[in-house]
Amino acid sequence: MIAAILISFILLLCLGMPISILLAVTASVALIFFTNTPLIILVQQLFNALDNYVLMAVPFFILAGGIMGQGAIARRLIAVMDLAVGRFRGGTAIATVVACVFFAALSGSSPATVVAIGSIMLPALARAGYDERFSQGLITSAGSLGIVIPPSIPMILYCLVMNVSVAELFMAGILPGVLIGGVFIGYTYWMARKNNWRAHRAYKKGEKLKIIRDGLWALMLPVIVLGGIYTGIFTPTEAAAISVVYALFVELVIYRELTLPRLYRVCKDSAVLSACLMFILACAMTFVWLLTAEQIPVKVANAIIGVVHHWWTFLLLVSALFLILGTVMDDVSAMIILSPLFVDTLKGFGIDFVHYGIVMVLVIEFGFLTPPFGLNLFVTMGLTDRSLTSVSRATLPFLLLLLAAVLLITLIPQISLFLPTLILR
Amino acid sequence: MKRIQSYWSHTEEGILAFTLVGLAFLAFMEVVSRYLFNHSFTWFEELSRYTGVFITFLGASLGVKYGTHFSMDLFLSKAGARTALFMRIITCALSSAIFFTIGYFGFAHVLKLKSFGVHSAALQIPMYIPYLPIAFFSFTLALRYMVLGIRHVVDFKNKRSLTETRSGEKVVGEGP
Repeated sequence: MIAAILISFILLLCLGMPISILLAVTASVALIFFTNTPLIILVQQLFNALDNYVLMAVPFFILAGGIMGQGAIARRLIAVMDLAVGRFRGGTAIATVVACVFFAALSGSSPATVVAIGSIMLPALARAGYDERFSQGLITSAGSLGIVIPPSIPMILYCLVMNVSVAELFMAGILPGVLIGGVFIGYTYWMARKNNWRAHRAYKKGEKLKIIRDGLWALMLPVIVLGGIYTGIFTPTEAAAISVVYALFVELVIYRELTLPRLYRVCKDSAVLSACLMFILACAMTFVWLLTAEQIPVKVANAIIGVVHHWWTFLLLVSALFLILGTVMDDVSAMIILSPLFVDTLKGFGIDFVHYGIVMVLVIEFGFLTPPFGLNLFVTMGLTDRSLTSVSRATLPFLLLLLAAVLLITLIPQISLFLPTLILR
Repeated sequence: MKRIQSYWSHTEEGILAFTLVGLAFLAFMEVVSRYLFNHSFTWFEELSRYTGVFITFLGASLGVKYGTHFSMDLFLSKAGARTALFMRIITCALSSAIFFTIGYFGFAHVLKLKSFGVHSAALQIPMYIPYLPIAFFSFTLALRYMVLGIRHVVDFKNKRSLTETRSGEKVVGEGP
């Protein structure tokens, strides 16, 4: 049965069949030929997978990110960050990283962060005299923090398939996100000193106050969302819904730059994108249910523990596997399908599911920056009209820094587990 | 026929967008009501779960039209034009077949639940209603893949390549 599942999975994947559907087909084939279970179970399993309140956080966060990515919020946020750090050497570039960190705390999506911050900051960096290649690499890489700093859509999906607390995983993402952001800022400062990129503009009287007042609406959102979750005022799903209503209020009532036709398009696109993600999740959980019923995760665990002897070797091997998979398919889908397979292996090695979740999210972040399917690279290509090779080269120094940070976070679980252990456990 | 298809798609899009935004507003109202009026909507969680099923299947069906279903097209893009079209015909046929099957069993399940007369715990609606989107939109998914497959077959016969056709699922690796 395992061989049949593997063969049909790989064959259909290579044929270019949508991942969600190939999972449903593979599960059906296995049910028909290898079990006596009636196919009606497929319907029940698809329903059971979707019948989950936490799952609704995914479309809400995608929609909120879509609304905030329309420009007004991102522009105000950048102005505040520029005011805060722009006076330092390399200030505009540092403000870009800090704006990415903050926008990541609003949106939960990497490409949305690159679009929102990149579309404004790429021209601004060029005007301020920064090297074009450096600017491209910076935006592409710093934008990838969108999924590490909470809220994060891949984190919610991971929590659903692995039965982990969303609040814990969100909290675990804060330190790694700040660490990676700090590494990018350090590199930016070093480059600024090396190339003599200076601080820039002076502010008129009263301008600073206006920037802070305007930006306050954007800065309040992470406080409301994360503060609400951690004080127990609302659940992650409610927090996601509140961020939608808040984003709509700020865009439509305060800034008044979002038109209704554009809003309709954002709502429609976000809903379809979320549905496709949730559909993969439903089909994957159906597929995983079948694998679990056949005790395949236990067999996988026994096979791996027989060969690999250390928890860190296992984590590095899994990361390498995902990096390879990321060159041929979407890493988020790979995480949804493969993570439940390793449940017994993780238990065998005593690896904390929250730490493993952070490692998965970091590997996905890495996948966003590596060709041929790095989504952030495509987004920057669209923003700058440069080739994939050119954007990939620009991203390379940041990718190496990210690799070092990922290794550190993978091998020192305390970096991710410190905050959840201190506050939530 | 094209006008009906376009009207149907626009209706689906409108329902999808308004359902998502409407549910977000309801969740917001629920939190406000809980803290300001000390009154919780006990039915809200159940409603949101069932709406999630509805949004997923409706959106998945629309995803075929927009080509937003994630796939791995490494071999598809490397294959020759005719081979790629042939591969697409196979995947459309298989996708259509699996969704006709799910739709069929979905309706069978709906009928079974209707005969049992089971009701949901909080909303007190007949339990077959939350299952209806799976049954109904599996058929629309199957039909969309069938139409796409037929279009590819016609293109294959007319010796046109995949890139010249208006095909779905071109997006690779798009995600959060």
